[in-house]
Amino acid sequence: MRKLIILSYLIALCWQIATAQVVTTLIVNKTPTNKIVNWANDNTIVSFIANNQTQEPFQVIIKTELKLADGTIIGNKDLAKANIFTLSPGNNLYYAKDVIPINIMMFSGTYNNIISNTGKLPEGYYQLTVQLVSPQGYAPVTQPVSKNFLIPSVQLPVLMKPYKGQVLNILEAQTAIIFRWTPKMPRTQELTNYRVQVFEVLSNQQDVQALRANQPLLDVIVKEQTQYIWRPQLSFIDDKHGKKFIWTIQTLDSAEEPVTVINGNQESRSEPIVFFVSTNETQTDEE
Amino acid sequence: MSNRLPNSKYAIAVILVLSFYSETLLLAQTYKYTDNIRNPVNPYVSKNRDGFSVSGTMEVTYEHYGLDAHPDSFRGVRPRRPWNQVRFNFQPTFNFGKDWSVPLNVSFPMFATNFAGPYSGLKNQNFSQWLSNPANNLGISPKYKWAQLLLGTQYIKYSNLSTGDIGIFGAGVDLRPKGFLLKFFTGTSQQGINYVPAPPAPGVMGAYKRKHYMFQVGKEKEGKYLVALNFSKGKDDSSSVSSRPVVVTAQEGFTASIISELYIMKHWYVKLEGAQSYFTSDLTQPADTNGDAGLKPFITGNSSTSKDNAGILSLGRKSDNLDIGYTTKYIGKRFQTTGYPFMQPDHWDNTIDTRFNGWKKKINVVASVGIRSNNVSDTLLKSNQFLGNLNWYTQVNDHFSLNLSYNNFGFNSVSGINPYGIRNVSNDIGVSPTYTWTTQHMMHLLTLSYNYSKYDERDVISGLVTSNNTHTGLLSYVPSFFNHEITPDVSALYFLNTMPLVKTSLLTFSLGAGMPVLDKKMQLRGQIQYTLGKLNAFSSNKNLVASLNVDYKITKKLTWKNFFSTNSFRYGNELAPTWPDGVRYLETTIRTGIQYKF
Repeated sequence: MRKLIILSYLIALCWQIATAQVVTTLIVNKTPTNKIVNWANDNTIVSFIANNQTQEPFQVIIKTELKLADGTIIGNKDLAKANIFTLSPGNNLYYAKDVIPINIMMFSGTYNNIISNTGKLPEGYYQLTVQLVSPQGYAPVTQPVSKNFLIPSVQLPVLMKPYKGQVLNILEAQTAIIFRWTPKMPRTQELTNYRVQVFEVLSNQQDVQALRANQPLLDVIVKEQTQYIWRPQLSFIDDKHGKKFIWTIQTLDSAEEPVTVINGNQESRSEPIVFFVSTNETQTDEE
Repeated sequence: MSNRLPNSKYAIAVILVLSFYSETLLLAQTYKYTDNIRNPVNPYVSKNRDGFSVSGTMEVTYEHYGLDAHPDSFRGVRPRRPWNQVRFNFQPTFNFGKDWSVPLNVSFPMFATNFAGPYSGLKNQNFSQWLSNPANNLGISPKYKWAQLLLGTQYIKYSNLSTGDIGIFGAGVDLRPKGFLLKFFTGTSQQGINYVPAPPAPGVMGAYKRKHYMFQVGKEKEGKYLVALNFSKGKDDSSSVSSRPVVVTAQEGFTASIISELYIMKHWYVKLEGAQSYFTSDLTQPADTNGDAGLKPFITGNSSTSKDNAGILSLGRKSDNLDIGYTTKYIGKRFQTTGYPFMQPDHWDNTIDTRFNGWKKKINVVASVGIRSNNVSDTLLKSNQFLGNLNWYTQVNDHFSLNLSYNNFGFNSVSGINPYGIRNVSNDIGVSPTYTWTTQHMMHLLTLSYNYSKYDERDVISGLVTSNNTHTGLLSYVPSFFNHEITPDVSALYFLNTMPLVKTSLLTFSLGAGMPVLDKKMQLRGQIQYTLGKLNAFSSNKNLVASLNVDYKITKKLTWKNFFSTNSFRYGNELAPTWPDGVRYLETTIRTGIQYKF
């Protein structure tokens, strides 16, 4: 028994020495993409440097916790399934795929649902905490290091032109119609795709009904730009009273999936706007 | 067409029912106009026809769409209409004396084409899904004096913040005894739709069955005042699907609002609405720890429930020669209502609108100016929009008129997480003089229109501002012959858009004409439009659009309507080297239909 106590003491002493001789640095992108399932493919999001100042390599596990700004833990790594890394003397560099591998992260109920359904982290301030621990008993090898990051709330584009109720000249509209909208807020490094859709409102339809029921006359994805020049290649003379259209923007991420997670209409569609094409250019007020 | 829905079997069933009623209706119409002729064989015509009348329309339309691309493998153009479509519209109103009326609204396409919303991509739909598909309207609203029964598809609008933008299949009432308002409606806006992953793309997003309840109580005196309380609730049934949607969550929302409108001193008005919403974004989440997230008994909250407020105030004056109004609208960050699914939260709008006539009504001015603040709850990402519109029309004399327009839109945000804030500014200026003169045999109308649009956008990383400029010039000439019924028009349009590295120019010539033939029973209207388009230094693309309308009046009430259109587009070498010069496509649309006006 006495030998066992001495052995334990020696092991603890060794880890304490090792702890003192490993210096860690954590670098986290301040506004990473909310698509956490893709972090493993992007080495710019998380970098974790462990500088082994001893002459001998030894094995460690990277322990990770994801917290909210108030310290509530919403996810941690399943250490039993975690990879064991051999810390070589000198600098050892690890990325998101090592630090926060999504397949062995255990998220709490709300976040587990959202991430497993969408692959995305909801908007908010987060803190990533990383620490090296021993493979046996998960004893601390280093002090935990933390970095904050923000998943910004997305403000969908607001439609600018044609503006609400605008009446376009039929001859000009048959040649070209310019669509403009505000960019998604905030702008992030991730590519934003804007899906521009224009629907004709038929005589017996409500405006939003046309959007939800009709095949769009224009359905195009515009990358990053906030303007699109549409050449309708349509004749609008079939209705002498003019035509009514409703247009909207669906904001998509780089994988062409809706950017928002659970808020809004769940389609990331901006509030649609109605405009008219007519020979009589008079502004109308829908409200 | 992957998203064409084979809902024809339900449509056919409804058509059979409608044809029965249509026949009845036509017979009833016949006897109405045959001056008290009674037919004992026909049981559908009452002996006493006094006071019976029908108004409205009945229409059936077939549309064919064709798209041929060359080479066949070219995928740069997508179809934008269903290949074949039949639409039925049956919208009569039966009036029985002065107190009874029965408006009917039945309209549906043979093949549903949903591209947005829960039905998008759905291949087969069952009958209940077909009923609540937004493509279809099947509603009847019998009314007796102040009491109206609402059955089937209804778009109920109680106010701007509670409910008004969603079609619901259900039942309810609209009662207005002695100026009191008592309204209730319940039904389903969408049925449960199973999630189907792609391929084929885009799959089916899936949706939960959503049931709505809405209620209004209030008092109204038309032209004097209105005060009402509105309640709107929508709840998803999370057990309504066997394959759960991946990105769509089961939700629940409850909104209460109070509206008041006051009309004073003949021309002045004040309108106010305040609303509070409770919205649960995910019904599967655990109950909230404090137990106060919801508003029992209307909604039981959980940890994903949020509460927020919204309000609209507008006041102003309306008269023949002067309208002026101020509107302020605030939507809180978490404000959400199932009655307006596309409403964008977290903004505050302030707008002043005006319209006035002057100089013996020879001047007409319509103007508005407004500021919108987005993300008002978040100083890090707050942004402001400025919107200004002016349209000034002047009839200078009998020959000359001038229209001036100005439109400004500015969007600014704080820098937030980027080195620079977003700054997008759009300025449009338009001038359009029209000159009219008369000779012995004809009248001439010449219009010249020029519009300049400048759009500046700042890059949030580098701070560089790029300008996007558009010039549009249009010259149109419309002669009217005093001794001939042909009405031709001719126009030429030049469009130039420049932005860094991209220059687009379009030159369009258009020729149109309309005239009645066959003793004015047939109305013809045709148009040919040819456009030369050029992108940077690439060779020109060429586009020809030709269309023809033929409306033939079979009887006073029955019209046969036809529309033929073709669009031929040939690219220049802008698609090279992926596609060689000569890529082209041809679109055709043929629409024919019979319309009966009661």
